[in-house]
Amino acid sequence: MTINSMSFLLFFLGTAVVYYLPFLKKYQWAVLLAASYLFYFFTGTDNFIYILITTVTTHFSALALSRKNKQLKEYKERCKKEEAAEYKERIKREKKRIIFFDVVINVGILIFVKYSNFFIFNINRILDGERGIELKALNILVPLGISYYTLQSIGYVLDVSKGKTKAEANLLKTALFVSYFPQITQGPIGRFEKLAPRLFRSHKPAWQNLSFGCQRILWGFFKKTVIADRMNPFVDEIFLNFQQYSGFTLFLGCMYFSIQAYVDFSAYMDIAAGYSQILGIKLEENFMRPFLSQSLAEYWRRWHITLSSWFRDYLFYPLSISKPAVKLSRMGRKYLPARIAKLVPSIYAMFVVWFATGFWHDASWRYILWGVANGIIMISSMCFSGTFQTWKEKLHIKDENRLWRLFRRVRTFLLISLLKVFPAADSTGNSLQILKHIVTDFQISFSYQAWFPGLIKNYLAYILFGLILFFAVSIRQEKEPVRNYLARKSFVLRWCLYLIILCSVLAFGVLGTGISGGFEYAQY
Amino acid sequence: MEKLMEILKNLRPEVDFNTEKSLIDGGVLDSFDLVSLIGELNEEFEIEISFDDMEPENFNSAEQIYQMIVRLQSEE
Repeated sequence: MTINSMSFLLFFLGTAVVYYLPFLKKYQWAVLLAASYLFYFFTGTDNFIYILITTVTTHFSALALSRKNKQLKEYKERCKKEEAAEYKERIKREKKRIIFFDVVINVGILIFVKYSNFFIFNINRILDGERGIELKALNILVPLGISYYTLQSIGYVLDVSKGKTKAEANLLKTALFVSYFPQITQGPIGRFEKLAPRLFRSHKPAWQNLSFGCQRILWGFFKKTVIADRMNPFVDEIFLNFQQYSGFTLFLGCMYFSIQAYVDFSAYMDIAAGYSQILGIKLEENFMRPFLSQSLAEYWRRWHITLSSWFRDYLFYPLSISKPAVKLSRMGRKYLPARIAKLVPSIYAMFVVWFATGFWHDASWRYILWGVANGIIMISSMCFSGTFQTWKEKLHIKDENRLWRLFRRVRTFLLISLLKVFPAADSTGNSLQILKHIVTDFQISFSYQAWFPGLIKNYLAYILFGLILFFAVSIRQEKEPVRNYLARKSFVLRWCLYLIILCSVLAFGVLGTGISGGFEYAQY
Repeated sequence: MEKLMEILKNLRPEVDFNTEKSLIDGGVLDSFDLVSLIGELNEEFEIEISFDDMEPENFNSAEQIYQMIVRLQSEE
């Protein structure tokens, strides 16, 4: 049951009716928990145990850390400073042990279910059939949303440890925070301090929530069925039969894949956020029009925001100020020019973060390469920023120049698209082959077949219509929320637009499979 | 304060930290300087500067950085 299926719609309607029953007002969170577990149950009973383990370990680790924080606070109040310092060290060690236990169990589960076969495959390759040893691949179904709820849960435990948020005393409420059904499949990765109060509070049915929620779901369906699912077959065709196409078509394929992946993922977010808004629960935004970015770093601040900020807060920042980073920094100051030496802690942290980002997405070398390539480009851009600045001054280029900004946006989009060669191909070898084709066989052609191989012309018209509307909304959204803009327009105009979008979904959308088709990012 | 001035001097020898009052707002220190500086401060003063402490009002001058260190040491 995917979030864009009819069965989900019926499931949601049933949940919403029970949720808003007046006598259940105080227990709305319990209704959400029951619905979340029911939803999870429908997706596969075999994997239920993993989310239960994550919930229990997260809950008790957070409580234990909260107790340690309280003990330290009380001790400080009644003891001398010197004694408190000693006690603090002890508490610090105990807290580290609790975090270690929680992270090992939860990351351990993630590694076991998601990465076992990757390690087995690589060990077998290293052994290369030596002495007849060959490890057998494990037949494990990756539990739905495990990459997302694991990060969300670990983030909560770390926040409690830092005293940023209080630990939840009710195990069932923690269970809801881990498993909230509109977001479990693909995020957004929520923060406890923001999401939990919204989940646990009672909500009255509100017209605006219903109206805005429905609008957003409709918009999500439009993006998914008219653009993403229409693009899917011909993008697949390019990458599955890449040997038949020139480097030019393959590069176009990378751009198409880039657009399709964004539209598909953000469509999911719209549908999830829309459903959640009907329940009165706001989800964090995951996208801020990433294709308008002027650099790769900016792109990552606008794309999959909750994942990037998770890595920034819980991995990049702690790593860049850690003892090894300080040591590297001091060493760097001895041997490197000052402007490079100061980058050393960030470079060290970025390398780890981008390796982890690639590996988080998928258990394969092509995703690791993709992550590391992103990191290398950003690190290079940091190292050469002084040189770029000098060139810009020599050429009298100003940052606010519109043409310069447009150039930077196009350049960033092309770069992002080229990097998408790794996720788009079905294996590491093929992604490198495709890259080689792009570099060595780039012949520009104006034939329809070179631009849109295997795509029916009618479908191209649907996709173009969808994309024009989509980008027009994105550009408007950059200035102000489109829903606020529409709210100021006349009733007739608003409803005409809604009807156009609805009719487009029905007339141009891929409804046969699309209405029940999965989302790309759910596999991560 | 002396220890702090030494760390700052090592980080950016060309900046006059005695007089500069807008290290962040004036763009004298960038985010990479900050990350590097925070690592040093945490180690030297045995404090924990969190991500939320990375605000201009904590880093605009040597005096403000010193005040933040004192505050975090008293909270520790």
